[in-house]
Amino acid sequence: MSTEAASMPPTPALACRGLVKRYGSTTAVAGLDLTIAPGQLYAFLGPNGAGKTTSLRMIAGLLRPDRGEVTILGRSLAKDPIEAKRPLAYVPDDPVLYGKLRPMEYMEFVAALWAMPAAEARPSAESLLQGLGLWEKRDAYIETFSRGTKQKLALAGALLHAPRLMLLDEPLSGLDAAAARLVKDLLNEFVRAGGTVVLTTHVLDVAERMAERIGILRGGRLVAEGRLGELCEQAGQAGGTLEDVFLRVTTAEPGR
Amino acid sequence: MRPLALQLWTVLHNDVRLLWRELLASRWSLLGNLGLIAILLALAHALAIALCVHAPHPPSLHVEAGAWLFFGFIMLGTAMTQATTLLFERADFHLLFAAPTSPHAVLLARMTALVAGSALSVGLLLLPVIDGLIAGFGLHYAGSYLVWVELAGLAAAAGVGFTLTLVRWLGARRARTTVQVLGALCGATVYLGIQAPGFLGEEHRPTAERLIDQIVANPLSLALARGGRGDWHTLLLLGASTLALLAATTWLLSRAFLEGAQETTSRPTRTHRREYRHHWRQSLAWVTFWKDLRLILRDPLLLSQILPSILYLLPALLGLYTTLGAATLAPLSVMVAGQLSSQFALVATAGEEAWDLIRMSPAPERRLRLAKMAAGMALPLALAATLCLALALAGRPGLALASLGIAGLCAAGGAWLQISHVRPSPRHDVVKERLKNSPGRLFGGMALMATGATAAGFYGHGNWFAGGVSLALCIAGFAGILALVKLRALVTPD
Repeated sequence: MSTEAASMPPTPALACRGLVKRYGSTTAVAGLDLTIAPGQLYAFLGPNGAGKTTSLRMIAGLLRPDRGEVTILGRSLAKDPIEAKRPLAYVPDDPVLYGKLRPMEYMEFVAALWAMPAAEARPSAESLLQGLGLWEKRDAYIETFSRGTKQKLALAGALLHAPRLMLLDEPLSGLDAAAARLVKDLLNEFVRAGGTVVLTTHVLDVAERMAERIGILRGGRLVAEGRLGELCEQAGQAGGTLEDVFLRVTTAEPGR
Repeated sequence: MRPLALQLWTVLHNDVRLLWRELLASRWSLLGNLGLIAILLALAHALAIALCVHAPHPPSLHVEAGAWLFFGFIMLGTAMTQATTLLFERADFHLLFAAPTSPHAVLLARMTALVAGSALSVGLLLLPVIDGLIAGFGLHYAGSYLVWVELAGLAAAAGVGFTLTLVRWLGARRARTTVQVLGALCGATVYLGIQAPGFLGEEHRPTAERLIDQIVANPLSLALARGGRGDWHTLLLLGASTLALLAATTWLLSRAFLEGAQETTSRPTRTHRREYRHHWRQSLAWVTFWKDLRLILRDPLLLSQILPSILYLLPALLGLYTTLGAATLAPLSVMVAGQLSSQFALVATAGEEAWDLIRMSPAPERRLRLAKMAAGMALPLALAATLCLALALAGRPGLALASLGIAGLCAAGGAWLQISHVRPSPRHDVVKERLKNSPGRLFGGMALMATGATAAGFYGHGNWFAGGVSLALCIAGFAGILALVKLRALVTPD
C-alpha cells in the first residue's frame, strides 16, 4: 500500500482542462490545458491580448469559464470553491487597495477573509510588513503610497495566509530595482519552501531567470510550453534565447 | 503654428465630446436617450406656453430677477464642479501643454467648455420658460437667450476663479470636496429660500417675502431681468462684462498653470505624524464592519455627497414643527436613519473597492454583506439615537424610544434593499449611481421611510390610532422587503 502511494504522482498544484472564455464574438481563451506540479515557478508569456490575465482571473475564481475546469491542489474550483480558494492567493497587475485604510488595517481584513486566528495573523502581518520595508509606513493611509509600495503591500496581503499557490499578474511592474530584487528573492524563497507560483510577465529576462517552466500564449491558446531548453527545441532554436523563441512562436503564421 | 481658432477647435471638440459622454453616462442615463429628453422638453414647452399664453400679464421684474438668480446659482454650482474635473482631474495637460499648441488656446477651450456645460445644466428648465415667455408676451423676451449665455459665462468665470483660489489654498482633492459641499449648500439654500414662506407660518410670511425681495432686487439680477426683456443697453453691458471677466479668468488660469497649479492634484490628502495603535480583531463580521465604517468616516468627499441630502427634508420638517413642536424630532430621526442607512449601505457594497480580493477569498459573502449592512446603519442610527435622546430630554421618553425602534426598522429595511442587489461602481460615483436602482427598490425604500416617519409623527401628535395603522403598514413593508427581496449574486462585468 505504502509503495503504491509513493509511486503515485503528487497532486498537481494547478490543473486546467479545456478552459474557454468568450466575450461576444471574441475568444479570449480557447481551450487552455495546463498542469503545474507543486514547488514550481511557472511563467505565462504572450503578446498583449493573448489571454494571460483572463486565464489567471479564471483560475482565481474571478471569471466563470464558458467551458472547462480548474482544479487547485486536487479541489475543483467549480464544485468546491471555498476549499479550492483557501490555499490560493492572487495579486492583479494594478491591485486595488483601500486608500483610506492603513497597512495593518488592510492586513487585518485579509486575515479575516481567510479566517486566520488573530494570534497567528498579527505577528505574521508585522513580520511581512517589516520584511517588505513597509513597517515605517504603517501609520500612513494607503492612498499616500507610490505604485511600487502598493504592489508590495498587495504581495504582503497575498502571503499573509501562507498560500500554497500564488497567481501574480505582472508582479514586477512599477517596482524599482531594489524592490524588484526583493520580490524576486521572496518568490524564489516561497518556491523553495514548496509553494507554487504562476506569474505573467512581459519581461522575458525575468521568465528566463526565474521560471522553471514557461508557457507561451497566443490568441488564447497555449502555443508552446516546457522548460527553456525544451522550448528552444520545439521552436527549432536550439541554443537560442527565450526572446528568439518568443518572437518565433508569437509571430509565426498560424498553422506553421 | 496653426491658427489660434483651429487649435481652439481641436481642444474644444475633444472636451465637448467628453463632457457630453460623461453627461449621458451619469445623471442623464435615467432618461436613457435623446428621444426621452426631446419628449420631456416638448411637454415642458407645452406647459410653459399654455401658462404664459393664458396669463393676464407678464411676471414682475423682481420675479424674473429671482428666477435668474436661481438659475445663476445652479450654473455656478455646475461650473465649480466641472472646473475641478476639467482643470484638475482629467490630467491631460501633460499632453496638451507638450503639444505645439498655445496654452491660451487650451485654456480658452476649457473655459468655453465650462460655459457650455453651465448653460446646458439648466437647459431643460430654462428653455421652455424662455419660449413660453416669448409665445405669451412677445419677441422681446428673446433677449433671455443672450442673458442665458452671458449668465453661463459669468458663472463659469466665477466658478473657475473660486475653484482656483480653493485649489491654491487646499490642494485639488480637498478643493473638490469643498466645492461639492458648497455646491450642495448653494442648491439647498436656494431651495430652502424658495420654500421659506411656505413653512414659516402666517405671522412670519410677510417678513420672509420682504427679505427674499430685498435679496433678488440686487443690481445684477435686476440687470439680468431687464436684459431678458430685450433691453439692448443692458445686454451689451452684460456681454462686455462677461467677455472681460472670461478673458481675465483665462489669463489668471494660464498664469496659474504655467506656475504648476495642476500639479497640486497629487498632493496627499493627509499625512499622519502620530503613531497609530491598531487593535486587531478576528471575526470577519467585526473586521468588515469596522473596515467599512472607517472608510465612510475617513472620506470627506463621500460625506459631502451624502449628508446634504438631509437638508432637503428640512422644509417639510420645519412645516411640521409648527404643529408638533419638539415631537418633530420623532419623524426626523426616522427619516435620517432610513435615508442615510440606505445611502451608506450602498456605499459600503456597491462602492466596495476590492471586490476581486473578496471574491477570490474563501469568505462567505452573505456574512460579509450583512456586516456591510451594519456598517452602513451605524452612523445614521447614532444620529437618530442622538435626536431621540434630545426628544427624551424634552420630556417625551416614550416617544423617543418608539421612534428609535421605528428608525431601526427603516434603517434595516433601506440598507437591506441596497445590499441585496449589488452592482459595483467607482466609489466617487456611487452616490449618483443610486439613481440606477430599480423603481421597485426605490419605491420600497421610500414607502418604508414614509410610513415609519408618519407613524412617529402621529404618535408625536397623540393620534394613537393613525400612528398604529402607519406602524402596522411600516412593519408589513419591512416584512415584505425581507420576504420578497433576496440576496442576489454580485453583478460584475466579466
